Parts: sequence; C-alpha cells; structure tokens
Amino acid sequence: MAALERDLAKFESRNTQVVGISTDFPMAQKPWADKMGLEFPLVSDWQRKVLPSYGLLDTDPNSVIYRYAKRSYLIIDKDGIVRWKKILDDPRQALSDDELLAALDKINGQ
Amino acid sequence: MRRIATLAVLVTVAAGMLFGATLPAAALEVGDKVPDFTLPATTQETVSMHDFLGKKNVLLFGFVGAFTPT
Repeated sequence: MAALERDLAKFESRNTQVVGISTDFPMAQKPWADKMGLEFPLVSDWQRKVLPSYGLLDTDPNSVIYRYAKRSYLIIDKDGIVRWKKILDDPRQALSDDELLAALDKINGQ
Repeated sequence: MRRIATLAVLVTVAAGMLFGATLPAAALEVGDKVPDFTLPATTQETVSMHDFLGKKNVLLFGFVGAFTPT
C-alpha cells in the first residue's frame, strides 16, 4: 500500500483513481491511512454489503481471512466495466505496481 | 415413465444452474459492469463508484485489514 502511494502519480497520469477497500471500521482505517500518509481513499465496507457483490469477501469458513477482504485488484474502466482482475490466494502477498501499471497501459491502449 | 424421470432430472439441473448463478458469492468477471456503492472513506465523508464513472478508471484493491502487513 505504501508502494501504491509512492507511485500514485503514475496511476494518476494514467487517469486512474486508486481506492482501497476492507472490512475495517472507518475509525480503524482513518488512523492507518493517516499514519501511512495515503492521499488516495480507503473505503470501509464494515457492514460487508459491497465486498460480496464484488466477489472480494473470503467466504471459506476454513480460511484464515474468513469474512475479510481478499488481497485483490480490479481495474474498472470509465464505463464501470471490469477490465482486469487478480485475486491472490495468499493475503500476505501483493502485486507489484509495475504489473498494475502495465495492465493499465494495455487497457488505455498505450 | 422413464421420459418423465429424465425430464425431472433436467428441470432440477436447470433450476440449480439458474438459482446457483444468482448466489451472492458470484464473483465479478472481466467484462461485467460493477454495482455502485457509497461507503465511508478516509479522504472525505464518502466515496461512491459513480463518482468516477465517465471520468476515470478505478483501481479497486481489497486488503485484509488496517495495521496488517502490506
């Protein structure tokens, strides 16, 4: 997440808004976002209404992150269409910004 | 009789596919339109998906929780 903040200008130059989503309460997200100095928004789906409809909530009772958001990335275009998606099995892993930026370049036709 | 039994199986399978597809766990796939949302946000009161429609791409990333390793 710190990496996304560091590369935020690269996402912005590709006309892309970065948004993070988790099941944290707003009162937990805010101090963390402040501590990390995040300029992009984190949104709180503490009622777990949105993540299931996006397929991003872990619904496996045997998972260590059961009922939490999966480590996941969706690129949604201006028309609200999913153009690229990756969900990682291991929530401790993260994608590199380079992979995300390359996917954006492909979508933007560059 | 056999024909009726076959038909019953087909109807059951079709119903399963039909209703199975509408379960809330169905993930969004590439090419799907995303549902709108409005949620509390860290940068302003709320953020909605429709804020960006017609204007920007959105990179939406899910993470397990605040104060967990990135």
